[in-house]
Amino acid sequence: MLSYLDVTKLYGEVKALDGVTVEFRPGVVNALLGPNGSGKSTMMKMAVGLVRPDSGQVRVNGVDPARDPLAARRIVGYSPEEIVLYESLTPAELFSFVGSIYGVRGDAFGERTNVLIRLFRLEECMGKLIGELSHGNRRKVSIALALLHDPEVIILDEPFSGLDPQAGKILKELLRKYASEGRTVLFSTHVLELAEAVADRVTILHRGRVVGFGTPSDLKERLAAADLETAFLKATGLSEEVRGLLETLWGS
Amino acid sequence: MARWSEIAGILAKEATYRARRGTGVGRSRLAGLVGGGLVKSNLLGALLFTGMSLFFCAVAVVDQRFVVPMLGVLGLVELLVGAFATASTVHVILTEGLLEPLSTLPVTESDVRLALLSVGVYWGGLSMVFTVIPGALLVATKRGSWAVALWGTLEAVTLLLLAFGVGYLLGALSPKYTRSRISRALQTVAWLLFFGFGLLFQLLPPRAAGFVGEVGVPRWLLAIPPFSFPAAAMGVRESALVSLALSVLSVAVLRAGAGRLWTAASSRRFALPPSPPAGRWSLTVGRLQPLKKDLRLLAMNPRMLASTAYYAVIGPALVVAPMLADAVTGNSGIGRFLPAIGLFFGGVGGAGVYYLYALDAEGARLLYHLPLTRGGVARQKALTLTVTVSPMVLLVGVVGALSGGVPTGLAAVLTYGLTLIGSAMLNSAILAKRLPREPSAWTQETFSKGTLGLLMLAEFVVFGAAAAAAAVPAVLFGGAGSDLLSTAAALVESIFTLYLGWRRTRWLRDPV
Repeated sequence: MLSYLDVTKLYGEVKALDGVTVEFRPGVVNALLGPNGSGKSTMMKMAVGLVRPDSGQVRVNGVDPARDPLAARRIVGYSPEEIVLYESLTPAELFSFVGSIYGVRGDAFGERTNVLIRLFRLEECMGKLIGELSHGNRRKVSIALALLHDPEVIILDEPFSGLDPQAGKILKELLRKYASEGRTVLFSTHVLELAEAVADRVTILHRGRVVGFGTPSDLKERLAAADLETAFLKATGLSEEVRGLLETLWGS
Repeated sequence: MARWSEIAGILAKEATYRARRGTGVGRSRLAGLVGGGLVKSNLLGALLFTGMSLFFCAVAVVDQRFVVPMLGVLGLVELLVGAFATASTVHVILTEGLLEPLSTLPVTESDVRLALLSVGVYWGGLSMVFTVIPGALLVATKRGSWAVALWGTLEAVTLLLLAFGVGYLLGALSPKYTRSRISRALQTVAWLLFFGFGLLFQLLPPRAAGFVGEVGVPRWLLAIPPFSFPAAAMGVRESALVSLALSVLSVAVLRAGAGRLWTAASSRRFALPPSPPAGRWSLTVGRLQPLKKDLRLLAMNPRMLASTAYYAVIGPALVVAPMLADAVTGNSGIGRFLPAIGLFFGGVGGAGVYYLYALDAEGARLLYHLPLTRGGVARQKALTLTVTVSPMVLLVGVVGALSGGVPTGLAAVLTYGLTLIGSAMLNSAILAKRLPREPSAWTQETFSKGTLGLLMLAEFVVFGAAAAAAAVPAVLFGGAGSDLLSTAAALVESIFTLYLGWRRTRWLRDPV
């Protein structure tokens, strides 16, 4: 379980999060949506103690990441939006290093890494330097690293960005599988069709506030929208604004 | 302002910003020092170098014998600092892909090329000529010898061109990554040779002590640039020929460097050998993986490998080698003092752990997501340094065994090794505490030069005093009993340093 209770975060005078209260429950796939700068990444970073809330509470399976970030990082598998890896190491070397930090030992580690390598079709990349890999393959390595220690809570920031359709399909299946095992799964995306197809529950964030929460069908019904995209635009108040701007652009 | 000069200014500013990213130095603070036009970006450097040049050449005004040594050494400073700074700037531009955003803009290739090649000037490189010219002018004015001004100016310009050429070559030779062992070995040797230039300063004083007539240095040095330039001003014909030859050569080196740099910048990708075939991967985990990771990063980064080797191994080896020679011939009584010397080496050597933080570079951002304490990282880096320096520790042990028997060798290994681990942990804990709180790259700019300078100075003083205190009984009394007392004192101090280092890292429980 990943929960946020009345969480506020300020960057200077900018309110990144403004009294956010939301629960991401285990057993379902949760999607976090929102325009750029809406606070999605800030929320996710809070779960591993990279950002501390100014007020309010964050809990990851009962652990407060602000007080005990190390415990939170052991529970969470986190893949950030910006891929951060050692470019002069190979994925094989990086898997061994990260596995050691998490204290993963023995055959279980070997089996899990080989499954992840095969799932993401990383076999041919394993001996190359990460600096030589394409953006998509680096993304796969980053996601595989987040899953290496068999985490209870999986948080992936824009995981589908740069993935090929095959890897995207595998990731969708993987997220559903983790959720079906009773783990907490949260990912962010800008692709609303993807969220609609994969997520059981959707949270829409706008200017640091939760402006929509529920299943995709609940949201569509509540906002009288034909699809999630329309629901998203209505929830974020962008629908009218976009229409007005388009009219200005075409001079009509 | 021409388009290429505008691009050069932006590239220089961005390269400096990227090199210092994560250190808390804001773009606005950098803007005051770098970029913003040719004059502005060189003004501060010009003032500093002018001050240095006048200060050093003041002595040459009083005594003509100092003209050649002073203008020669200042020339070396210009060459080394200029080449190093140019190589660093170019390296950042290539590895960070700073030219890539330009590829989508309507700028011509010649503009980009000109901007890239003049980036050293916009970084502040032009100010390097003020290392030599003001001093040469001062000497020329006071001594009424305008030949010194003429040859001094030629020296400054020649060395600037050479510094840019060498900097372009070194910077372009260092792609961000390469799997080729041969390429990495060659780059490491190149960097070692480059750092080795500093040895000239160590070699000069004893040689320069024997002045030759009016010139002030041994005759052989007059034929070696940059000493040949001021010597030419004093009428030495061979020096004039060598200096003019170097001026021509510097243009050739600049052309070659510029060509190599442009090839590297426009290709961006470097030829890599084929990767190993796919198959089932047998991956290992364990406590030594972080050490393996650091050693691998060190092996993959020729510049850092050369820096670490130079500081931790080659430097002490230069001190130990003569002792070893004496010990082999049996002429040495050094064995009595080796435990104390080991204590000093270990204590001062611990500061080398700084290089191992810069190794992580951009990859350090990953560490912020992992369950790692700062103390854990500090101990890890200390372990890597100990492993890296261990050949030197063993060499000191060999010297001890040869000059004073196996127990002396063992004592030297213990004092060197234990103090090294302790000092490395102490240094590492201080640095780990200062790592940025937000996920950041760790580079050589992550820690302030002031902190590093103070640390090194403090270690020289503290471990110098500790080693001297341990050596007192052996110096004052002589005999086996007092030697044993010296060894025991050095060992106690080593164990105390180890304890302090261990305690300091244990206290650091904050996450990275």
